[in-house]
Amino acid sequence: MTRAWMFTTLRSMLVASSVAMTMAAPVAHAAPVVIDFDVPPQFGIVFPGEAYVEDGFRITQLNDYALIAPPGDQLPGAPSNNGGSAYYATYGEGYFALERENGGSFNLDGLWAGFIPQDPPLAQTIILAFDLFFADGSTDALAYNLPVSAFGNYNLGFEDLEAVIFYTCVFTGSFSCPTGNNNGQFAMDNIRLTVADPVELPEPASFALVSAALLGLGVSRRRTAR
Amino acid sequence: MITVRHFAALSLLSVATAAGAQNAQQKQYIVRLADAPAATYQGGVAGIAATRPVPGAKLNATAANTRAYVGYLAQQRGAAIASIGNVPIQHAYSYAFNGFSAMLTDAQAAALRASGRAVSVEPVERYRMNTTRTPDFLGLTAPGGLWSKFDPGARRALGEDVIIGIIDSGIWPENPSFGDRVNASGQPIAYNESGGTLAYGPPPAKWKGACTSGAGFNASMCNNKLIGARYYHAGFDANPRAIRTSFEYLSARDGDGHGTHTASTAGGNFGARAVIDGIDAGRMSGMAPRARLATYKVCWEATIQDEGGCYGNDAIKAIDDAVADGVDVLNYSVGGSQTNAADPVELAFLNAVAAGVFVATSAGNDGPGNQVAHIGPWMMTTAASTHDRYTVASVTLGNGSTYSGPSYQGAGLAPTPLVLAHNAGVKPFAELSVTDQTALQRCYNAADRAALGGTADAALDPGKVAGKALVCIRGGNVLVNKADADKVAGGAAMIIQNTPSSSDTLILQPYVIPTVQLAAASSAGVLAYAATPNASVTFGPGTQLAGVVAPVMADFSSRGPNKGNANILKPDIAAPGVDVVAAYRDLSLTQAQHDAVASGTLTPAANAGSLQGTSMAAPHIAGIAALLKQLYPTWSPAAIKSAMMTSTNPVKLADGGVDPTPWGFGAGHVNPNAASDPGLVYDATATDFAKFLCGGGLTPPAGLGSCASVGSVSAANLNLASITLADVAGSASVTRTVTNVSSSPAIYTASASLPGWTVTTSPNALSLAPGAKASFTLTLTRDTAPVGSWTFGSLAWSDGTRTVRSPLSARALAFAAPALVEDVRASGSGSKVFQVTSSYTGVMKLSASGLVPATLTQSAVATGFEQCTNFTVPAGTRVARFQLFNADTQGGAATDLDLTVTRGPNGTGPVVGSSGGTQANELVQLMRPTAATYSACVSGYATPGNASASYTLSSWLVGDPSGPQTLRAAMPGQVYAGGKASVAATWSVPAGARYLGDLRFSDASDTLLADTVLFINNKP
Repeated sequence: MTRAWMFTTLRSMLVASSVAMTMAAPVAHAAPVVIDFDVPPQFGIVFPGEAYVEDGFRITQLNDYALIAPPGDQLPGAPSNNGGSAYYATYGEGYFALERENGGSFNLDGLWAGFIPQDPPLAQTIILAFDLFFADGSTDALAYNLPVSAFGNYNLGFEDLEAVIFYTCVFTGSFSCPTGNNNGQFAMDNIRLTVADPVELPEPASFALVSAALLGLGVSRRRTAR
Repeated sequence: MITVRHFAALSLLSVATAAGAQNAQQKQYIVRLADAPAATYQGGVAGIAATRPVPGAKLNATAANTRAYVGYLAQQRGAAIASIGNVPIQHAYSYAFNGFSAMLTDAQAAALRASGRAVSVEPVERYRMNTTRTPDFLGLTAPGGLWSKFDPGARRALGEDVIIGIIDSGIWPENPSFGDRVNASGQPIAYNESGGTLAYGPPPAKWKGACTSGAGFNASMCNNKLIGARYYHAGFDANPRAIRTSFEYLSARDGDGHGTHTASTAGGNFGARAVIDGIDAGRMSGMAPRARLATYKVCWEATIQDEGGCYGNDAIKAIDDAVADGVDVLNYSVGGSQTNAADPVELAFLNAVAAGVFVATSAGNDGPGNQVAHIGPWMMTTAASTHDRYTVASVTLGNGSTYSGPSYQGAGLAPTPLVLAHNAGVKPFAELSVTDQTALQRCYNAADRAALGGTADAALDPGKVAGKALVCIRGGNVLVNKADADKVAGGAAMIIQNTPSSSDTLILQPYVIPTVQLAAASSAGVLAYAATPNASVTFGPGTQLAGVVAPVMADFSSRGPNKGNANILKPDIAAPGVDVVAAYRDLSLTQAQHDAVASGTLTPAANAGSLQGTSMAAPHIAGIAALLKQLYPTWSPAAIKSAMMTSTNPVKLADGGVDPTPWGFGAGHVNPNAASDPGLVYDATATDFAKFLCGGGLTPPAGLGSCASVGSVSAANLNLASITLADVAGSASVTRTVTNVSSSPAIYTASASLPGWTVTTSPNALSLAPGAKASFTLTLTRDTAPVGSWTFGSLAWSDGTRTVRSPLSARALAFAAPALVEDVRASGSGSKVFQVTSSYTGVMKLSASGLVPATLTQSAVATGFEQCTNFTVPAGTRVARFQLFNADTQGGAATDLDLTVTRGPNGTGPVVGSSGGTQANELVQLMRPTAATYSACVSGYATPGNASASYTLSSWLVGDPSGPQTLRAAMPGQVYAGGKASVAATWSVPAGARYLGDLRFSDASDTLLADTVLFINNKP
């Protein structure tokens, strides 16, 4: 993805509930996925161009950086009302893209997000913005008020997506995106997705089982050699 | 490599102490206990109501609840003392400080710290003590001046019924400055003069103090003017090397003169005769001539000068008593900490402020160096400047050369033989030792020779001096002693000659014989001529010098910036402190006469003296505060301080221009008339000062609230009348709140300027009803101001008639990052996010290095010994850190180790860092050290039983990164001028060790901006 994707005009400003009301029913044979960032080997900094992978989805940091802090680390100003588990915190003027590893389509049912203010915080209203890229080639852009230093739970219901880019805007009479002066910092957790055509991909838990099996094989071979 | 060497100096000290005390391990400590003192107790003990006075009221020390609470504190104190074996205590504190002072062993001190009863246990510090014209000079006597104003009771603002407490060297009560009667002419007379009529009513009802008798001082010397006298000496006495001089008095009587001088400057009677060593010098007055005075003697003269002075535990007891006694204003012309606002003495003053007492302190006499003392924002720290009385006399030598210099004498000197002190000794100059040569040239008297060095061989020979004028060179002793030595030898007059190697200030002060002081520029001519046979000299009469430039900062006045917190302006204000004539002790007493005074068989004479020092400046402020306290009884100490700071006059340079550097004078030169109608004040409560302490990582005294309950405020945002921003990266904002203290509505508009900065105030107009408050934000944005240098300007609010001016100071920083980020946890991986501030827009580079685990060096050391470990620090080292931990030391907190790092092996070379805490937690960290062999030396200050105690020295060297690092860090790709950016660091290392890393910030051209050191303690 390139930056050229970014920031189509925010032509509709809708609150989350009204968007959700307009959505059609989920497609048949859907498999729900929740990206919760609680994958310890991937804790740490996500540099620009690097990606976080969970449950067949890839989150690519497109600008500045993100931090997935180990649970319990208090990040200044960041939300903490998610039960203390890990989450994705993007800093500076960071933005990131969500897509499936296999390029398939998905529904974005909802997510948790909250603004991370600098000290001192911005006085203006902060907006969480989405650039939506649909499987049919159409695009849309939407925005929602974002709580400061706390997670808000958004029910979305966007269907048949190919990719979504997340960023923030500041409202000062008009929208300015992404939020400048390195104030565009936000946290995201519990991204609820539905995969219409699940592709058989090993999940992290499956990887662990495979690894254990290989280790077990090694041990048994040594035993055989004796 | 480890080397052992004996710590010679420390061992000598130990021997000396052992000879003088039963237990060489005992030291004087001030112990602060957990409960609030009575001045700030807000309730909470069952059955005892709050004792904290409401704003504008005083602590009532005799009220039932206060007595009950003080009784409760005594119980708690008793339990704490019992827990360490009922050690005898020196002082018990209850009112402005809760705790006690005592001689304790380190083990007892550690036990108290560990018990949870004591909030702090700190060794006692000792400090040294650091007026006819000044009421006119300050405009008090002018038509419409402050003395002509009326208080709500229609009494003139002369300090009526305001009580000023003087914590100093005591008082000489025979001076008419301190009498309560006046003669038929209305002039004040001293207690020992007969007749007259009573000029003062009984002490105000708030007064609960006492007049304590002692050597040469009895209760009859107190009266309705001098209403209290107490003295404190347990701290002084606990030093076995501190022996009172034979001219001291074990009582409130002044053994020095300093306390008498400061008392009369603050609140001495109007029109008191000033007779200086027998010479009439007119009449003098304190700033608040109708105030009542109470003296608290804590400063003592010692036979070994360096052991004398004012002990902190004695001073705290004086503050404690003064608050309970009901003083309104305290003056403390004594030294103080230059770095620690939470020093026990300063905290006692904070509690006094909480009880509504205004505190004036002296800035110190260590100028022009950056040595300002008393840095707590609750006190008014006063610098010393000149006033305009200045008489000069001509000096005409027999060879026709003419000079002039300051001279008090008014009659001149007819042609008189002139002799150089070198040639006027009892022995030929060439036969004297070097020390005696110095003593003779400088005209030391016998006392100087005893104190400064010199034998009787260095005495002046009356046969060579009598009837002549003598040339003495400046240096060594105080100038008046040169005249004393001359007079004792029968001299008729004196020239004090400054030299290129002496101080070259010129001081106008009275001497016991006609004297002129000459500048160093004339030294070659005068000294050469005076050495010739049959030399002679003529003095013209001293005449007022026209166009005297004043006020000018005294060079001795300690300068800012504040070394403890550069965001708090210190000193706060300047006041006259050069050539101040005020009451003094009688210097003419012989030993026998002194002894007769001490035993009560002789009443000594009054005397006056001209002194200089910030000690003389502070009581001007104390006295003016008393005038304001009378006019506005409900104003807080902070409001009084603000009124004085926002109404100052400029201080001048010697050439008459405006002095641009507020490090000398703070807000400026006090202008009492304008201070009495300030319009607006920047007020602050004791709670605000507690928040300030919390904001600086310090703990406020109990009673003002814990940091968790009061919160915190940054030093820059404390509501002071000064605005000082030490590290502005691009842009910064501060908020202030002003209160309209006038009786009418007013609209104020702001104007602010600071060279090289854009300054805005929002809002820039304030409409305020009487008594109303309004807040504003002041924002600085760097324009052309140079990075790293201070610039000075001002903020002024004006309503068209009044100007409320605040000094505004800022220092631009290229980049602001925390010097240290610490993380303490048991596990080995984690993350941190912190903010940095940039002064430019562009790219910033970040390079992370580490984490490096500690190198551990195990050894052992006993009391008085030192162990040095050598370290090779390679080029390019970013950080070198050396650290000791209680947890890694045998005996833990009860072991007192110190750590010194030198650039050189085995403890040789210059000391580049040292750490001397009272336990074994010690840390020396060197940023970007030059490549060399360094040594980290651990010395045993006090090990349990003086036995060898094992310890582990942890050390880290972090260079530039090479290969993969366990520390990873990121920051945004673009930074903005004045903007913040979040920096994240993550790491994953084995648990159970301590690690060091470094984050280095540089700009696009690789110019180093800052390092942030990351200390990861996985072994908490």
